[in-house]
Amino acid sequence: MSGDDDGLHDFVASRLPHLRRSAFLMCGDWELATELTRACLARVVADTRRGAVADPDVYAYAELMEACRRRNRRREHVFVAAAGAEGVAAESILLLDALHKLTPRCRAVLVLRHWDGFDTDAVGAMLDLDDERVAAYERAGLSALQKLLIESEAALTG
Amino acid sequence: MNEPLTRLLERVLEGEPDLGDEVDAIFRDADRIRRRRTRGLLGAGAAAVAVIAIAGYLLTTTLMPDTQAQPPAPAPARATASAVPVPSSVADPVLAVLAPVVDGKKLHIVPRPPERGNGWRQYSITDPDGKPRGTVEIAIYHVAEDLCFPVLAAPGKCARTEWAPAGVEYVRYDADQDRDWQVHQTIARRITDGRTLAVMATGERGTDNASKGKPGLTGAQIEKITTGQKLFDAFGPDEQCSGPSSAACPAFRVPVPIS
Repeated sequence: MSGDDDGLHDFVASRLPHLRRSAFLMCGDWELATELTRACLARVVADTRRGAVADPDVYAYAELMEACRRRNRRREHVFVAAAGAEGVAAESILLLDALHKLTPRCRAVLVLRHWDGFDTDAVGAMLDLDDERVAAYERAGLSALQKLLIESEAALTG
Repeated sequence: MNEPLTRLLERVLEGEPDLGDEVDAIFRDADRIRRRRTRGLLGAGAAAVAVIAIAGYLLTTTLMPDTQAQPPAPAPARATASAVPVPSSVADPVLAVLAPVVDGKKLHIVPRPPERGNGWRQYSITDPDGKPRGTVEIAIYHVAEDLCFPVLAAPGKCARTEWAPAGVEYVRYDADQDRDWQVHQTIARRITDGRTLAVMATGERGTDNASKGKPGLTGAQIEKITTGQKLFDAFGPDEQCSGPSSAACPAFRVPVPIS
């Protein structure tokens, strides 16, 4: 393995868990999240080796969010647990369900901003949005999520 | 949502499966991608030859068409009925949003036949003397991706959107130069769920009179109605003006560019 490949190996090893969690929040399925993350990071490695990647983080998250958006069209389940996993709290299902009701782009903004902690500029670069639109998606997404969660909690208790 | 979203999301991730040897698998996949790209490059020459051969074959078959009788083409599928049957006893929530605005102008609004279908409604407006003051047509769509709001003067370009509260982006279109067809229209999209409304008020057409052809509602009123949350929620959650029944949808001055 060359020095460049060592750097790439470290990059992949450090980003893989984060990317897979983000993918899970986008698609609600650990198996699919693993598959999408693996495919996305393989492309990052292949394209970095031929010098086609300027910023691997932006590239990786942009690819992953686009892959999740494409797969979302065929999505049938709100949540698919990992094989052998124990039960999941109802609140978690409600949150995933509420996230699922948002448009993929809106969901991606919330995940990238509130889970991955990227700033507005970085999210804009990943999703090809200007800052104003990122802010609008975030504001509207948080407000819609809050409304959806209140409605589902009321339905659950009532 | 009393807790920060980050903490809520953390809880959702409980039960995360092990990563196993994913890192090695990623590098194996990357090598596979590289090999595939190399093969693709080498195959380009062969593909060029194949394209030439196919083009030759197609040209030959086009110039010498098959004279055998073809079986009759299947009959076209019957158009799907567009109207969604709704019991007449059910109040019209869309009308309930429009009526206060129209009543405020001392006008009347009533459903205009064919008054409704899946994702669309249309209404007539009359003045207190019963004289027609045009129509209001409304349709709702689902646009999951970003919408390119049209620019009338520049086809293919996207208009800069305005923002209303609660994440509604919109563009207002007022066309009153043609006195035979004066239009106030607004297109609005709620970015959280992609629901997109088009609302158009038109005056009476063909009056050849700027005053008589004026729409019953102003551009500002149409904008306010379209960008409020109530109208989005007045349609059924699964209603949308697309699919087999979309031929019955209103013809807007500025159509919503849905694919």
